[in-house]
Amino acid sequence: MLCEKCQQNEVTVHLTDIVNNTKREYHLCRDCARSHGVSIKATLENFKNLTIPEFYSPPEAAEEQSTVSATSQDCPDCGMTYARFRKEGKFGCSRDYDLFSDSLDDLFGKIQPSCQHKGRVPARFHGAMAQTLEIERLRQEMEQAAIDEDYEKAAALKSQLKSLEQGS
Amino acid sequence: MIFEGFKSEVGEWLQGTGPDSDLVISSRVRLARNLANSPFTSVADEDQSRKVADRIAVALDRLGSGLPLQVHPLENRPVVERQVLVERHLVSHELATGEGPRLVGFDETESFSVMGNEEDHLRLQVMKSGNQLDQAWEQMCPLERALEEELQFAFHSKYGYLTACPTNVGTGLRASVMLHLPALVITGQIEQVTSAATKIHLAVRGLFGEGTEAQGDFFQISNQRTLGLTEEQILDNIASVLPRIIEYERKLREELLERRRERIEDRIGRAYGILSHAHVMTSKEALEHLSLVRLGVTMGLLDEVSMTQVNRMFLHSQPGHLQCLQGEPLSSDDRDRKRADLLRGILGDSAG
Repeated sequence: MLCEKCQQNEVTVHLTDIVNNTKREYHLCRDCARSHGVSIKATLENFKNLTIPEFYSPPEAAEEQSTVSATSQDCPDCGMTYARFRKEGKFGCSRDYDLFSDSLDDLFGKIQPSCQHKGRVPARFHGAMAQTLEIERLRQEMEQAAIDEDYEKAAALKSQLKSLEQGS
Repeated sequence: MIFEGFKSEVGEWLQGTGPDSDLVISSRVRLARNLANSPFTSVADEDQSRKVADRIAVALDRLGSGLPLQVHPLENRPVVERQVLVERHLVSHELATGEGPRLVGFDETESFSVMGNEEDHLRLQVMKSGNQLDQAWEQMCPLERALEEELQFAFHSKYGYLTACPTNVGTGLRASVMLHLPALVITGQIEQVTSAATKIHLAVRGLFGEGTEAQGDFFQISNQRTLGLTEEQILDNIASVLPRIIEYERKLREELLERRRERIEDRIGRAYGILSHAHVMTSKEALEHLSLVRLGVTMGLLDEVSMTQVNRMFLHSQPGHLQCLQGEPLSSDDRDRKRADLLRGILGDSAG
């Protein structure tokens, strides 16, 4: 089998990438894999943390992708596109966090222990954050109760959560 | 010239004091913050960056009524002066070499510093000498609060403090300690420490942080995770591993003395001999010898040198300081000669 990128060398690297439940497979030779930043040694040691944002996308497909995002996801404030964010790794403004939020949990999950902020809060957010954190705390407690098979407690917590979320 | 504005020869972090200062050089906490409703630095145009810099300068001015701060715009400063600020760890390499309106502010002890228009609009930093991460954090908290009253920071109820890079989001906190671990390096055990640290999500880097190689047995350990943890949890994570590294290094130093005393005394003595007698010296070579001399001082094997001298040599032999002290830009060859002169001079003080 020949490398799908260069069509010259034998395939030595098979990669499966799952993004938003869409599975993609890549069959590459060692050189092409390396030139796209995939280190075989690092992959073996650390395959769980492997991120392959755009390590392989044929030129035509890449163009297509950026046209799609240009119409749907351009930030009206700073002009950032999701494709550019993934390529450069930097947000352009605060609004990008909301625009790209569908993809951020996956991305942050690779480097951060959770996607819910638990640290300091500016004074002007104290009220709002207290509720967010309380909801998060109850949810964790409910999940733990379910794991412990304490279904009565889980049900009680669930109704508590529901009234809190509806109240907000 | 900025250099003349420094009150002491070395900043607070290089005083060589504080707990465990035999191997913990300094402790540092850094917070990343952005102003709400302004694009981040990398996409902001000149006009927007100017406004951000002006707002920060005004806020620092107000803060300065309680804590006198020197505030300097960086864009028109000579390269050498900016290099001095990097070497004193008051600004990052990125801020020193960046473009557009940007500024630095610091107090006279050089413990607290602020960068304006780095990758994030604001980078606040507190540095302390020795093992004092908690104290650095305590000093940081009221300063951050005071600035927040002046400037509204970009904040999200889910993602916390918003930053340009996803690796800083949430708390925006990077806590780090700079360690001197020569015995772990000499005995080849340093790999174990770095892999243990990596397992609990800590990064191990060189002297100047991100992207720098470890030089002269100096290592910086910092948190990688910033979101989903409280600031205290982040600090505790480093605090949990630090005593074990300290104990390990100290044990190995004792073993070196017991089993290889002659060899280690010889290496330290040779390093001292070269520093006090050489006529040409690169900064890399200086750092290697300084590491051994520092080890000798902390182990009581080099009575003729003090820690103050070591720290002065450490800082003043770096390219920016060397050129600033000389009062003119120097070629690389000239620097190597002047560096050797400087080191001989500092060590000669103790002989005389």
